[in-house]
This record gives sequence, structure tokens and C-alpha cells, in this order.
Amino acid sequence: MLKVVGLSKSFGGVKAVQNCKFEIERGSIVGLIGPNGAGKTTVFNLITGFLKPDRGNIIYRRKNITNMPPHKIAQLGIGRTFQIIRLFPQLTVLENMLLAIPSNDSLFTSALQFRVVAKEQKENIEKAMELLKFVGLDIKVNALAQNLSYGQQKLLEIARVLALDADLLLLDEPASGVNLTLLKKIAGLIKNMRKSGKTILLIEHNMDFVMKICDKVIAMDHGKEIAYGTPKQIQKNKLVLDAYLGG
Amino acid sequence: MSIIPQLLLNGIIAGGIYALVALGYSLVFGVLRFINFAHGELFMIGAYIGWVFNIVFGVNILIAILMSIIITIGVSFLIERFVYQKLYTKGLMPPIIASFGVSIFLQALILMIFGAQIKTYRTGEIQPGISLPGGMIITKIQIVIIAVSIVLMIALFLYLKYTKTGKAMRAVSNNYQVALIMGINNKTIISYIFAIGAGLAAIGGVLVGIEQNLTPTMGVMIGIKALVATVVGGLGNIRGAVMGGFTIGIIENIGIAWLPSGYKDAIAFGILILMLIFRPTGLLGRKTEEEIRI
Amino acid sequence: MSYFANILVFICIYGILAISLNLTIGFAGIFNLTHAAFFGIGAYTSALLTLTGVPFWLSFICAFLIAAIFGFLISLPATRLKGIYLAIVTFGFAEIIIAVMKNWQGLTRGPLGLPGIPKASLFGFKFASTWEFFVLAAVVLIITYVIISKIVNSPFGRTMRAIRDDEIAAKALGKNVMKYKSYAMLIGAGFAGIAGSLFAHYITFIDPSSFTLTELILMLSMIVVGGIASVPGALLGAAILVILPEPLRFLYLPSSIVAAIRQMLFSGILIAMLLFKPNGILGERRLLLKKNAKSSWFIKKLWRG
Repeated sequence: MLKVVGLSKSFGGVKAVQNCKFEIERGSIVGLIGPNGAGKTTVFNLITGFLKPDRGNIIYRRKNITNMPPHKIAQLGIGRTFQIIRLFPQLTVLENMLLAIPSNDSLFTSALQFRVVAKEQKENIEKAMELLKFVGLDIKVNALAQNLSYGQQKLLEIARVLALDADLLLLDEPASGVNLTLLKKIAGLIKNMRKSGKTILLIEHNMDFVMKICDKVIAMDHGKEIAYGTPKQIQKNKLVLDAYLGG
Repeated sequence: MSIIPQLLLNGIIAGGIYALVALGYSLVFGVLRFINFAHGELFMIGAYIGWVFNIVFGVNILIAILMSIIITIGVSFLIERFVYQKLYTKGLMPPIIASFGVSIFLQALILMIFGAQIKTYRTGEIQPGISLPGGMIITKIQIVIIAVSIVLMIALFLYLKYTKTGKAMRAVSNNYQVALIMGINNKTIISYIFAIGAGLAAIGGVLVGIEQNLTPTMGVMIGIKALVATVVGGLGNIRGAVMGGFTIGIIENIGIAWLPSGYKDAIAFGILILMLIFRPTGLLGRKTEEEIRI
Repeated sequence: MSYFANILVFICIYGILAISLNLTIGFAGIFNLTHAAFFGIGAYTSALLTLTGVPFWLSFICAFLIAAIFGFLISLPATRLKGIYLAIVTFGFAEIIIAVMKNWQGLTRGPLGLPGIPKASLFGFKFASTWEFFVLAAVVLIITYVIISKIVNSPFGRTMRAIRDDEIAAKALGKNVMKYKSYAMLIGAGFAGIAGSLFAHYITFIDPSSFTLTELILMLSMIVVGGIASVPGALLGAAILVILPEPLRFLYLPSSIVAAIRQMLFSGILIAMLLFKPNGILGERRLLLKKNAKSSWFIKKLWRG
């Protein structure tokens, strides 16, 4: 479903990503692990178009998306969350959701077709409420996003990326900073996503989490992918252990 | 074209002034990521205060300059302390909008106190210029402007490079958090930075006041062009500010050999826009493009 | 009596300016400094067209269109830049526009300005008296208010506010950020243009000095006072800043002093509002202020260097 070949990106003299290469199968949950600075988030930014690679290609469903702008990539069906939560702080929970649901928000439809817009709005609000109920945030529907607790914001981010109805989801540290209960909930949500046919690539530092829910794991270090396999294989991989423990 | 050498000379003179004022913008932006749109007004206030001491009180011009520097720094300190300091933390727009307000307020204040009529430092006839080879003419005060600008700039660079406070300023400018950890008192350093900027502007103001004349709006165009110079040179880069200042001065003065002279001011903006579109980091800028472009 | 009508007309004109500026700065988060220049473009367009015989209603519409086109063209390079750089480049464009107004003597008569602009007239009815013109201006104001409120509360407006809050997240949700920003600038410019048209046909004389940076700062003050990101706030701010300096008129001071005091007044109010009530009178949402004032945006920015 997603194929990355020869991907490279440098910042000044620093080679953040070097000749990275991997492939993700449809319908799987893949973990992307590695020590800090390994280049994981850079890879995410390259895939989603927020950074342009120096070299290499990114192919999604046979389409070369390498130099596409981020909004077009999102429209193609690739959704992502961010390491630092990026909600719209001055907008309500509902508004955050509505922005994600594919809808017509061009200037002209907004200005002209009142009834059509109203009907679509109603449907979208229902969809949004469904997802919010799914993650347990429906009671907070009119709260400003900036007033939610950290855990609630994490859930909103996940609900929002679900609302995108994307087929490939890139989750950047979805489980960081949350307590055990929420962790289990998020794990459950991700497994559910796979059940609905979505493909997920996630960055995580919580090894327990990764090992429990991922089908396959890619390990990176110093900008290169150093191992690929099932969680069990990765756990035993010498290179991976070296990367985390050694220098 | 035989007027080119003269235009070039005019450009250097103007450039020196722009550079002096641009240094103030650059120093402040380097630390606070804030553009003080009222900086040009410090230039103007410097000119007026010097005038008050020199013409109204009859004090020797050098002492007048000294008083101008001191008082302008004082004004700058008050503004920074009571207006800007509270707004830095509030995002991009509040400090800048406030600086717009300060700019207008200062212009209006001087207008009210001194009236709109032009004031001059000269009490006698206009002195003839000195002839130079190439058909150029330069007046004594213009020589002083060039000399003073260059001396001040060199002094500033040496100060930043070799003195303890100067190094502290560079540290704060480069990395605010680390400077804090290293025990540098950032608030004091920031005050010093504002003071240097204000002092340079005041000197520039007096010099231009002597060379030309005083109006409450004399700081506006100079301030704006100095800002353009800062951006052209690369925001936050001190050498860039100097380079930008001379670049703008020279190009706009030579440019009027081809364009109608009314468009002289617009030349600076044209350069600005071209820079921002094609090379937003400026000539010597150190910010990466990813911080400027979306 | 027409003294009051005069004030009301200015409240209408500045109201339109403030509301449209608010759209770009407050709702779309685009720190755009060309607004006064668009005001001028609309005024000159409308004036020049009617001076060559074009009927007022057509000139009025052209004022909107031409200003909007300029807004769009400027948005193309401008929206590629961030924050302060966007502000600086829009500022540069504004100054160039003013320079053209001052120097293209063949078109604009430069600093001498355009006198003798015909009063507004529709279908033969001339809005000759001030009260009559007020009716026209009020109608335009109301239409502006309604349209911009609708835009802000629509899905389009929601997307614009999202872009203001976090552009990167908006892109990740599939929004073509540059397109929305261009639209916001286009609309804002267009409405500034029609304010210009009204202005030209009311005062019947225009010159470049009415469209400078100082005017822009006055408009900024209006939205800061009234409340950024609030349509009624913009109108309120306009009303307050138009009315407030009026008592000075009755003090029999020389005009340059009055002008100076007026400027000190609005700049003083601007600074005071920013220091003590940055959300303005009607701004309920925390717009200008970033969330954690202590671990603030600027310190983070500094640290990243």
C-alpha cells in the first residue's frame, strides 16, 4: 500500500534520513521505532508532504506522491497525527471534528446554497457525534479544544483523524504521556481501525504498546532502517538492541 | 553618465544612516523576534532633543549630541519597560501593533510640542560643498556622517566581539534559554541592546538633522527604509543590517538616474518585495527558509 | 443637524473598513497591512470612472472588483510567508501603491488629488445631502455586516479560523491553505474598495494622504478596541474611534494641535487596550493571546533560534 524507496533528507550538514526503504502492507498495523533522533518523525513529514525529500520516492497505492503538497496527500487518503498535539485551540471539539469530515466548505457553496449546506452540515454533525461517542468525548462537544485535558485532547486528535476517513493513518506517538487506562483504550481504538480496513503506521517509544498491537515493526537508527520484522523478531535483533543501548 | 559618481556618493551617505538605524532593528529582532516599528521615531526624537540643547539652550553641539543620546535612550527604556515588555509573551501581533501605536503617539507628541514647522540646526548660510574628483561634491557634514557611521559600526562590532557584555548579547541573541542557564541576566542585556539601538538612532538623527532639517515625520521614512535594509540583509543579522543599509542607499540613489525621482522611496520597497519572494532569508540571513516560508 | 449625519457617515465607512480588516486579520489570522491601500484603490477607481462618465453604481462595483483583484494578486506572494514576513511584504506593497498614487500624475494627478468627484447617484436620484448619503452608506454597511457575518459562521469561515489557529494541522486535514488565505484577502480587499468608493463620492475630493499607514493604524485600533474576531466588535470600535475625537472640534485650538491630539488619542487608546484589555470590548475568545502566556510562543521561538 505504501512504499518508500531511497528516501533521503538532510538539514544543513545533518543527515536526518538516509536512503530509507520500507513497505507497508494494506490492513496491517506497523510500528516505527528507534532512539530519539533516528529520523522517524522526519520520515512522517516526508511521507505526508510537509518536507520535501532530497532524494527518493514515496509511492502510495501505485501513485507517486513524492513531491505533492500536504493537503493533496491528505485528500488522497493519508491522515496523520502529530507528536505535539495540533488541535485548533480556539475552536470547539465539534468544530475540530467537522473540519476533518470531507465536506464542501468552499466560499461559494457557503455563500449560496443555504439548504444544501444545512443538510450536509446536519449529516456531518451526526457523523462527528458518532465518532465522539466512540472515543467517549461526546459530552464535551461544545468545549473549546484548548480547555480539554491532555488525555481528552489525545482522544480528540484520534477521533479527528478517524473523521478524515483516510485509508492510511500515520500516528506520531499516539500513546505518549497517557495513563494506563487511556493507553488500553487507545490500543483498542487502533485495533478497531484495522478491523475497519485501515492501514496504520505508528511511531512509538512505548515498547510494550508496540509489541502488543503491531503486526510488523520497522526499526530505525541514524536515519536508516536497520531492521524489519515481527515484534518478536525485532525484540531479538542485535542491531536494534545496540541502537537503543549502545551509541 | 557623469552624475553616477555623485549619486553613488549620495547613496553611501544615505546608506550610512540607514545602516545605523537598521542596526537597532536587527539587534532587537535578533533577541526578541520583534520588530519595533517605532524605532524610526527614536531617530526623530534624537534629532529634536539635540536641536533643543544646541539651538534653544545654546549648548555646544557635541554636548547636545551626548544629551540627545542619553535622553533618547531614556525614552526608549521607558517605552520598552512599560509597553513592550508586557506584550512580548502575547504572540506575534500585539507587540507590533503596539509599536505602531507608539510610533504615532511619539510623532503626535513632538508635533504638539514643537509644531509642524521645519526646524534647522543651521544658524548661518548654507556652507558650500567640497569638490571632489569625478565632479562630485560633498559637504562637511556629509563627510562627518560617513565617518561617524563607519566608526560607530566598527566600534559596535568590536564591542560585540570582544567585550563581556557584547559577548553576552550575542549569546542571548543566539540562544535565549542557554544564556539564562549560563547566568546571563537576560533582562539587563535586552535593555542594553535597546539602549545601543536607541543611541545609534539618536546620533543618526542629530547628524541628519544637521545635514537637512527637522520635521516630526522625519523618522517615518528613515525607519521604514532601515527596516527594509534589515530584512534585505537578513533579519537578526547585524552585518546584514549594515550591508542592507548601504545596498538600499546606493540602489535607491542610483535608481533615480533611470526612474522618475518621485519613485525613489518606492525603490526600497521594490527591493524588499523581490527579496522576500526570492530570498526571504536576506543576503546574509541565518534563519532557514523553513522558518520563513510556509 | 447634518453634523451628526456626517459623523454617522464616517461610522459607516470606517465600519466597513474595520469589519473587512477584521476578516483578514482577526478571522483568517493574516497580518495584512495593505488595507488602507485597498481603500485607496477603491476610491481612485470609483472616482476616475465616474469622472469619465461611468454611472455611480457601476463604478462602485468596479471599485470592489479592482480592489479584490489587487488583494488576490498580492496574496499570491504574501501568503507564502509567515507572520512577520507576511506583514512586512504587505506593508511593502502598500507603500508601493501609495507611491504610484503620488507619482502617476497622468492618472491620479499625484499629490494634488482628484477634485470634483460627482456625488453618488442612483437611477437619477442624487445623494446630495448628508442625510441622504447616510442612507446609502448605512445600507452598504448593513449588507457588508450581513455578508461577512455569514462568511465567518459558514463552513468556509470555520476552515479559515482553523487555518488561523494552526495552519499545519489544517493542511494535514486536506485544506488548501493558500487558497483560503487568498480568498480572505480578496474579500477583505474588495470591501475596503467599496468603502473607498463611498468615501470618494462623499468627500468629492481624494488624495494619497488619506490612504497611508497612519490610516491603517487607525483601522487596526478600531478592531483592537472593539474586539478582534468579532464582527459587531469591529463596528463598535469604528464608532468609538470616530466619535471620540469629536469634542476636540469645539475647543477652538489650531488645527495642527487638534490633529496631534487626535492622533495621540487613538494611539494612546490602542496601546492602553493592548496592555489592559487585548481582546477588546467584545472579543470573548482569546484570539491575540496565545494559550500559555508564560511558556510562551516567543520563548519557544527563541529557543529554536
